[in-house]
Amino acid sequence: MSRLFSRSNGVSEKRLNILIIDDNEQITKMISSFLDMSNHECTVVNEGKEGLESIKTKQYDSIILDLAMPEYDGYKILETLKTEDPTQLPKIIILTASNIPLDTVRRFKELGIASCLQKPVDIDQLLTKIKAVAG
Amino acid sequence: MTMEEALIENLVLGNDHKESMKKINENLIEYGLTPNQSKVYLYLTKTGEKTASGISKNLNIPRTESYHLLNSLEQKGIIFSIFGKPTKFNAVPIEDALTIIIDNEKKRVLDLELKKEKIMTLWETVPKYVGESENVDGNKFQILQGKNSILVKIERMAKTAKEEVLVLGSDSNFIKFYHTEFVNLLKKTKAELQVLTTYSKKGQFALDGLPLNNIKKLDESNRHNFSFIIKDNQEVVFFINSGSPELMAIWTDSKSFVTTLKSLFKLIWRKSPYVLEKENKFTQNMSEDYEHRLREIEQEKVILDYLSQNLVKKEAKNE
Repeated sequence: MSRLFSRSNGVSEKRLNILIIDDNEQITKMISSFLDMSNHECTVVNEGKEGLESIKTKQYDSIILDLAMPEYDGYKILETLKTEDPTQLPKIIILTASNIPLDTVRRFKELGIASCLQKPVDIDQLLTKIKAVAG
Repeated sequence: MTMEEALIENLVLGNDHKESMKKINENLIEYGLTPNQSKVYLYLTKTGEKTASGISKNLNIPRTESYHLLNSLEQKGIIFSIFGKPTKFNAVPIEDALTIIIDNEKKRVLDLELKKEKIMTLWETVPKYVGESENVDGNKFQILQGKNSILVKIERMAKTAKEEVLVLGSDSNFIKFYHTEFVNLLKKTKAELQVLTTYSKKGQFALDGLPLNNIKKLDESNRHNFSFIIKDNQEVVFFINSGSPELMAIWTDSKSFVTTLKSLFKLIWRKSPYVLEKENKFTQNMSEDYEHRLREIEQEKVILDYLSQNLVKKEAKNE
C-alpha cells in the first residue's frame, strides 16, 4: 500500500522518522496511517509527558506537536525543551485546533519552531511542511 | 388540665396534632387575636357549642374574663351565641373566620386612608407652633421592627430616590424578603440601582428579577453579615442581625452615617466584578471549547476524505 502513496516519479524519497504528540487518538491514528502509506515511519504518543520523554530519547526528522492537551500540554513541552537546551530544539511543527494569538506565533518563531499550523490542515500541505522541516 | 381537655388533646386530636394546634394558635395571634381569644376560639372549634361557665372551667380562665373574651370574639364575627338558657356559644368554621378577620382588617385600613385626608384638613385649621419647624434634617433615626415596617421604609426610599439606590448585603439577608415586594420595589426605582451581594448559587433566587448588569459580586473578604440600603446622600436603612427571628433595622438620615457607608459601598463596588462577567467568561470558554472541537472534527474529516479518495484510486488501478 505504501507504494501507492509514495508519489514515485522515479526518484525514491527519503523515509522520514516522524513523532506525533496529540491527545486526539483519532487524529493521530489517521495521520500515522497516511504517513505510513506515504512510506514514512511514524511514532504516536497521546500524552504530553510521554511525548517529552520520546523527544529526549530518540532523534526524529520531524515532530508534530499539539498544544492543548490535558495535564502536560504542548506549551509545557516547549518550555522544558527551551530551558534544558535552547540551542538544540528539535524540528517541531505545531498542529493545533486552538486559537493562537499573533504574538505567540512570533514567540514560537523566535524559539525556533519550524511551522505553526491551525487545524484543519490540508493533508498534502502537512506532508510538504514535514518534508521541508526534515530538510 | 380537665378530663375533657385531656380527651380532646390526646384522644380526639392525638399527640401528633398538638404541634399543629400550637402553630395555628401562634398564627391567630398574628391575625390580631389575643392569646386567650385564640385559645377560646380554637376550643370552641374543637368541642362545638359550650356555655360560658363551661369554657371558663375547662380553659381555666376566670369567669368574668371569659365573658369579655366571648363578647369580643362575637364582635369580630368569628363566634356566635345560641339562644337558650344558659346561652351557649359556638365557633364559625376556621376558613370563614380567617376571611372575616382579613375583611375586617381591609375595611379598617380603608377607613384609615379615608380618615387621613380628614385629619389633614383639620390639621390645616390648627395654628402652627414655633417649635414645629425646629425639626432639623440629618439627626433623625428610627428603629424598625418587623419585615413590614422595614419594607414600608424601603418603598418610600426607592420611590423618592433621585440619584441612586445602593444595596449591599449577603443574599442570606435578602432571602428573608423572598415572597415580598422587595425586588419589585428596587426594580421600580427611577434612580440608578447598584446591588452588591454574595450572589451564591443557593441564595441568588432572592434577587430574581433584578437586572444582572446592576449587580456586582461581593468578594469573600467582604462577606460580613451586614446589610444596608442607601438612598442618594440622604438616608440609610441598616439591618441588625440580632439573632431573633424578627427582622430589625435602623433607619437614619444622619449625614456622617450615610457618607461613611456610601464611601464603603463605593470602595467595594469599584473592586468587585459584575455577576454577568462571570457568566460571560463561562460562555466564552464554552464557545472556545466548541470551536476547538469543531476544528478537530474538520481535521479528521480532511484526513478521512484524503484516505478514502486514495483507496478508490487504488481499487480503480487494481481493476
